[in-house]
Parts: sequence; C-alpha cells; structure tokens
Amino acid sequence: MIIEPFQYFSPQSLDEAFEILSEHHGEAKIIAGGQSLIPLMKMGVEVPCIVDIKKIPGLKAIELSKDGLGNVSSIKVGALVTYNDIEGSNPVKKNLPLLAKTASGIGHPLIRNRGTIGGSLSHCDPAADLCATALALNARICITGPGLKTRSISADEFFKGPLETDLQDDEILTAVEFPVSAMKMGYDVQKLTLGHGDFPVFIVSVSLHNDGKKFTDIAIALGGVGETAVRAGECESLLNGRESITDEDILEVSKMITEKYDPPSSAELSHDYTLDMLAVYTRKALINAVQMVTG
Amino acid sequence: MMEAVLERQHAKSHVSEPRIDARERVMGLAKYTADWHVKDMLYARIFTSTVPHGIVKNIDSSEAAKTPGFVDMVSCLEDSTLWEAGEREHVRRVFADHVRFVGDCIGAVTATTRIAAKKAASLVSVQYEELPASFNIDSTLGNSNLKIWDNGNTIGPLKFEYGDAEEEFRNSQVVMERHYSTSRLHNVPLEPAISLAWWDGDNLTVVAATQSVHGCRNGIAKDLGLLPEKVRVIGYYKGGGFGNKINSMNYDLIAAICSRRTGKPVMVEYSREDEFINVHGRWSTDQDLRIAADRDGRINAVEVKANCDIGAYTRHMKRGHFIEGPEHYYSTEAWNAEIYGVYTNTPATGHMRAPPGPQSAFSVESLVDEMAYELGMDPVEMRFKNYIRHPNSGKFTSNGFEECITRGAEEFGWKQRWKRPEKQNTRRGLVTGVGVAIGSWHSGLGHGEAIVSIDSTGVLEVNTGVVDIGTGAKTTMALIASGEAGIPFSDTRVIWGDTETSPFSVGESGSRTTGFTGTAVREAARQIRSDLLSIGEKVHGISSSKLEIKEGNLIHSGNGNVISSVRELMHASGNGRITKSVTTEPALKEGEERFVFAAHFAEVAVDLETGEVKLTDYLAYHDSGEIVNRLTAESQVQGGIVMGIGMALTEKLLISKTDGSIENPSLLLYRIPNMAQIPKIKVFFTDTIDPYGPKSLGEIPIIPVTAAIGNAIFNATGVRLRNLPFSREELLRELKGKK
Repeated sequence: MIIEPFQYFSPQSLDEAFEILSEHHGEAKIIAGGQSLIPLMKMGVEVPCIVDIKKIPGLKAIELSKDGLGNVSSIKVGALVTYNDIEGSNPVKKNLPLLAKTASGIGHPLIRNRGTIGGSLSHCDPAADLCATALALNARICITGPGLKTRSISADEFFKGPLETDLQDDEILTAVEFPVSAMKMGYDVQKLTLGHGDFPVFIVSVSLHNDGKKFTDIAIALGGVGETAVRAGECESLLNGRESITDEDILEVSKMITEKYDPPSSAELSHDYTLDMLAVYTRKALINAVQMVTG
Repeated sequence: MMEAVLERQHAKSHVSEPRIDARERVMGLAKYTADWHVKDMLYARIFTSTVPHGIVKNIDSSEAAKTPGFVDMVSCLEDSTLWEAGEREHVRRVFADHVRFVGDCIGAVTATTRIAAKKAASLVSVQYEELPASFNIDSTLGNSNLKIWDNGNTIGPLKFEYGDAEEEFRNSQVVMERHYSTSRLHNVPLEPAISLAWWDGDNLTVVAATQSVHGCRNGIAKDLGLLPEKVRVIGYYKGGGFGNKINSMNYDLIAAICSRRTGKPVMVEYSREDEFINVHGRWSTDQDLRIAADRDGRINAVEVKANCDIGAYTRHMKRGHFIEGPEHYYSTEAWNAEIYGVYTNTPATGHMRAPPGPQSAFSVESLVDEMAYELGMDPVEMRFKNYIRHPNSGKFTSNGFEECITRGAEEFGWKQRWKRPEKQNTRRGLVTGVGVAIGSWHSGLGHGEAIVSIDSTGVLEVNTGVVDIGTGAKTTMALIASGEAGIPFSDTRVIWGDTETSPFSVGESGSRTTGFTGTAVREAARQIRSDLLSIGEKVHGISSSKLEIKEGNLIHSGNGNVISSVRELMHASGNGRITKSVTTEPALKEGEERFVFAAHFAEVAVDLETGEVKLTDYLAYHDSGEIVNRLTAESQVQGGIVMGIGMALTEKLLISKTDGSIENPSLLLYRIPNMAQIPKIKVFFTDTIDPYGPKSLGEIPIIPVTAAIGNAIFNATGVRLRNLPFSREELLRELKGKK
C-alpha cells in the first residue's frame, strides 16, 4: 500500500513532459515500467509527483545504424523498450547477444514484461543486470532536456553512485546506444542471487572479440561490488591482446578480481562465500566467453 | 462391511474433475473477504509492540487522532478480551498489556479509509516498562531472570516411549548419534489475514477468512461471551491458510470489538508484513537423535531429544507434541522421545500443515538413511526391511506402505538410478544423486454432518459447512454425493461456508474434511438414492431391488434399460424436494489404528563450485485409501511437496539476535519456491481400500520431502546436511573440507 498521496501526470509529448518537470522541479520522478519506483513507494519513500512517460511517442523503438558497407554499426534502444522486447528482438539477439541474454535473465516474466532499459539505467542500482552489461558493451546514454536539447554520455560517466546518475532533474533518458562490431565475439553474464529471479547480489558481464589472431576489446563489468557498476580495467588489460587465453589465465584474473573488489554479504550468505563466488562466477563467465570464439 | 467395500471399489473409477468453482476463481468472480463492501464500512489497523518483552505503561493517541479520517482507538488499557485459542497453556489477550514479542498486538485504530487507518496506527505512541527477553532456546534455558510466563518458560517434557531403549542401545551392533535443526517458517497463504464484522443488536456477523466457519463461530462466541447462535460466520472463498486461519483468530475478535465500539461494520486487513509477524508459523527444532541397528539392517531403537522454539505463544493443540510422527514409520523394538517446547520473545507459532510432521521426519529419515549407508545397504531396502507392518498393539484398518515403497521405487527407476557414493574426483560441474524418504500420518474418523436433497428437476444439492480453503472440498463433497446418489456431477450443486445455512463441519484442518464431513455426505446421498429406488418401485411397479440409479437415470438392473430419467421420475411421483439430513459418528473398533503412508523419491543436481542444489526430479507414492478426485488429490500432494521444497531449500524466518523481531517479513526476503525451482512432480496412489472410506491426504505430502532431498544431496556429494534449510554455503564448505 502506498500511503502518501502523489500527483500523477501522463504527458503525450516530450515538450509536455519537460513543462511538468520544470513546474515540479526536484519533486517529480519519471516512471516507465515502475519496477523500481513502485516498490520503493510501497516501502514508504515519498514521491510527491509522478510523470509517466509511457504515452510519449518515439521512445519504444529499436533502431539500427549501418556503416558504408551496409553492416550494422550500432543499435539504439529506446528508453521504453522492455526487457522482454530486448530479449525477443532479432537484431539485438544477432548483434548484441549479451544484451539479449542479460535481459532474459532479469527477475521473472512479469518484471520483464514491464521493466524498461531506460528505467533500469536511470534508477542506477549498483547491482542491476543492465547497468553491468551497459558498461561491458560500451553503451552511450542519450539524454534529452528542455527545449529538446540532446546530449549523449558514456555509461561509465552516466553512473555516478548508488541510485545516482548524471541525469538532471529536468532531463529524460530517451535511448541507449550500443556500438556493434563485426568481429567474432564471445560473451556471458553470470550472477549470484539469493533465489531464482531475485535481484543480483553481484553480477559479472563479460564481452570480448577475436579478430582471428588475438583477443581484443576484453570487457569485464561487475555490478554489486561497489558504488556503481564498474569495469575491471586492470584485469581486462591482463587479457587484452593475447593470442590465447588459458584456464590458468582465467584463474589468475578471477583471483585478481577478488583482491580488488568486494561483494556484499547478507544474513544468508557470508562474506567468505560471496567473495569465493565472485571468483567462481567470473571464471565461469570468462571460460564461456572464451570458448565461444575458440571452441 | 464387505458389500460397502465392493461398492466403493466399483466407484473407484479414477474420477478426475476440475474444481466446481475454478471458473469463478480464475475469472475474478469469487468474492473473497477483501472483496466485500458493506455500507458505512470502516477499516481497522493494529498497532503493535516495539519492544520484545515489557508491560505497557502508557498509550498516547493524540497524534493518531489528528489524522483525517480517524474514528476510534482501542487498546489493552480499556479492553481485556481474551483470545482463548491463541495460547494453549496460558492466557492470551487480544490486546496485550504484557507484550511478549516485537509485533505483539496492543490495540487497533479504526478510520474511514485503509490509508487513514494505517497512518493513524503508525502515530500511536506507547511507553513500556521493559523486561528481560530471550530470542532463542539457549538463552531461555540459561536465563533464570527471564519470565516470559510466570509459571515457567517451557512446556514439557512430552515423553513418548515403548520398549526398553537403553537395553536395545546396549545390545545393538551399530549405534549412531546425530544433531539436527530446523528453522522457523511461515505458512504464507496467498491471502493475508482479514476479517469483516458488524453487529445488528446483539447479533454478530463475521465474514471471515477462516478454515472452519463453525470453529470460528464457536471461538468468537466463547471469547466475546455470546451464545453461538448469536454469531453468524460467513466464509465463501479463501486464499489458503495451511493451518494459520484455523478456527477463530484474533483479527476476527478485533473486527468484532472495533465494530461494537463504533457501531459500524469494520474490516481488519493485514498487510503481508503483518501476516508474517502477527499470524503464527511453524516452530523450529533442535534435535538430538540416536539410532540402534543390527548389521542386517534391522532398526532396533530410536531416541529423540528435542527442544523446540515455540515463540511467545503457541496454538498447537496437544500439550507438548512438538516432535511427532516417525514412531509410526517403523516397527522398532523401542522408541524413546523427550520433547520440550521452549518459549522465546519472538512471534507466535502454531499450526502449519502437519504441524510437527516434517521437522520430525527430517531428522529420523536422515538418520535412517545415514544408517543404511553405514551398513552398506540400499536405502530403499532399509526402509522395506523396517517399515511398520502393524502398530505396537492391534492392527491398521489398511496399510499400503509396502506398495508405496516398492511401486514407488519401481516407477522412479530407483534400481537403475541409485549408486553408492564414490569419492569425488572432479571439483567442477554438476553431480547428481537420488534420495528416498518415507512417512506416515494419522487419519482420524469423527463427527460429520450433511444435508443432501434432490429437487423436482433432478438436481442434487449438497449442503455442508466446508469452507474450501483451497483443498477442493466443495468439489470433493459434490463428487461423493453424485457418485453415491447416481446423479451426474454436472447436476450437483453445493451450498457451503455459512453457519446460518450449513450444518456443522470441522472445516479444513487436520486432514479431516473428506473423512469426517464426507462420510455424512455419502450416507445422506445413499439415503436419497434409496428413496429414489422406492419411488421407482411405486411409479413403475418394479421391485426396487431390481432398480438402479445411474447418471441421473432409473435403470432396470436386469437388462440395463433406462426406465426414466430421475427428473421424470421426480415429476411422476408428484413429490417435491426430498431432503436427507444426516449426522455420522464413525469410530474405530477396539485395537484399530488408521494411518496414511507415503514414500517419496528425489533427484538433485549439485554444482560443486557453488554448492547450489537444483531439484531435478520428484516422485511421490501415497496410500490415502480411496481417492475421490484424482485431479485435486494430485494437486494437493504437489502443493504439499512444494511447501516441503521451500522448507528444504529456501524458507527461513530470520529472527533478529537483538530484539527477536522478524528480519524478513516480505515475499522479497522470505523466499517460497518459485516455478523454476520445482521439477515436474509425479504423483501415484496405491489401490488400498480402507473399510471406513477415503483416508486423509492434506498433510502427509509435506512430511518426507526435506529428508528425501537431503538424502539425494548426500548421494550426489557424500555430504550430509543436518540443518534446514540446506545452505549452499554449508554444502560448499563441507565439499571443500572433504578434499
């Protein structure tokens, strides 16, 4: 039960939304699928004003950009695209399989039917599935402000802290753009949860390329081990440029991860265990990713 | 008797009917208590103790009263109504002035809306004189200053013994001794507690989410000092209870009290959090077991010593029966149990599906399994060698235990799938294993009432006091009546769930509805058929001994020809409705015991790197006598097993070490199993025929589950887990320790 009263707006255009946002400056929260905001309000977080952006046209598209040779060079996913839409999109499955896999593993079907990519990234929970994968895939966040002024910023710069982003009170996240590579790719996402469908304790999202000679663009993104999702840069550089990656290399990287990052513990899982698991899940993710391009 | 048996055998046609109210439920037409809207209805919300143990000194409602919509506040300072069913050994008040746990109900605020009531209740401020408190068994037993109750902080010992256990332990070839623990759990019905009450003069009507409208009525009447006939309890649709909506609950009394004070209908509705904290769940146990066996696998004696954390209050029926059941699994020479209930300043405990059953089966069935491996025996053979053939004295009315074990093993493919655990050479990947556990549970007989009638159109009407908490009782009663009377199921209607219109029923608890109320329904329907045959004789001049009623038709039993439909027969007779009102009181003969039996088989896959356990296959073989409705019976077994899976793998109430409060009172943090964790559960029933009719079914399915899963984990990994729920962390630690 939400016991505090709140105002509800359902603007039909971005312009109208910005008007409402400026009228209720600092008091308004944007709602899309409501999979984070509504539970918070039920827990007693007071939100005086809700701006529902679901009726604004143009925020639900998955758009492909192509290079001169006709190859897909990037995919722009609208803020209102649901996890379920991502999971079911053929171009996403083909070009950004890590994104599709991540989306398909979020929560339960009911959550995936409503939760949106824009909502997840702007909510910015440090352990959210899509935050880690957005980092692993070098996503850029597309933002529109008053006067329909647009800007874009890397996911890395966008995530500022727990539930804190670079998004200003009068701005709306409108899309997330992912670069696409034609190179052979390997990927995986692994997460520790308390129970099936639960929010991750931590998540490891891995993406890498292989040009036939060597491994490049190694991305190891971690969620739940700090203030925001992070890229394990030093671990990545250990593997970047290698001709081959052995089980021993992966073990070494997994060990290094546990020296640098600290997963949380809970009443049910001790710190010893979650730290142990950080190494295990990182190793599983890396092995699966590497096997995809070598196996 | 022989004739009755043959007749039932004939009736056992593997009927499988969906619930008669499935459509209403699925389409949202079923009217649950929360769907009731009565004119001028108010909403009440409880406010509760913020300290684990203390005396209420002062209550300040001035802030609460300023909330727009506030109507009334009632508290322990002005209302001392007792809730007799709320605590068996002591006196429990509806509004506690001596609070015994964080969440103990002190009072209630009534307001015009749900939101106003919640807000106002949160603004009531209470001052306490705090008292020493205990949050676990050890601190209760070790603290002499602690006075949760004036006459002692424990119940017991309950002693149960036969034979000379000490002698058996001295003389047996192998003795094992192990410690087990099980956690505090919650029933988690989908529908949280709710009650709506209003007064008309000194007549009280309560729309209750109860498991028994008559039990609820009698409890409310007693506690409020009313004659039972002054109280009407209505309960048409329920969202489950599993024992925590049994008879009258404190929230029914709160609704009645608030309504009497305000003169308006009042609804009390618990949130999910309230439900976790303020409605009882399962007690935890700390058990020390010893088992004595011979090398040939013969179990000679079992000894159980246990302390159970029963919270600040316990509703459990029988004094001290907190560990009970396994003494009826095996034929041992001796059994020796000594059990204590230990009070703590934590939320109440009470009935939850087979209240002591699964805790008790877990320890005994884990230990028997361990003994089997110790002796180098196949665990199924071990069970087969020792399962109970006859009670200590007398005999079972029927016993399908052997079929459960042998046919169950066959259907599961036990011989092909079970292998002796080998030393693990791998450190990664998945390993699989299989486990078995057995169990039994009582199947009583008792008072049943039913009114069955047939009207001039040939429609059969069954009127019983069942509430159909989720067991499919309405459908079961209709099937029994339709089968016995010879009227098609589609022409059978049910009246239920209202003390004003329906005769007494024990309701849905203790696995009793089909056995108790169903017996009366069967007898009433038999009388209807007999009357129809007499009418047939009169109308058609054929001796009633040559007539039958089948599928709504009068049949000539000689040539099988349809003489007329029952509808035509009723019309031709000129009779109006025929009604049979029946009370049955079946009782066991001297020396007879009546039990149900089950054998469960599980397969798990364990991730050696993470300790995660996935249940990959499950099979249950049950003897519950004649099965009235295969579809709902299978569902009931599956439901019980799912609750058992939760108990084994995911569920645990986290009790705060600092104030005894529940740290996970939400479905986000208290994890019941979800579909992805549940394999396809195969359910089989034996062909056992019991002379007294269908046996019990509702509770036994949860009993063997935790041990079957734990035994499979051992078979997969060589690690014995003895604490529930099984923890992946503990399993991983043990796996690493083994290398």
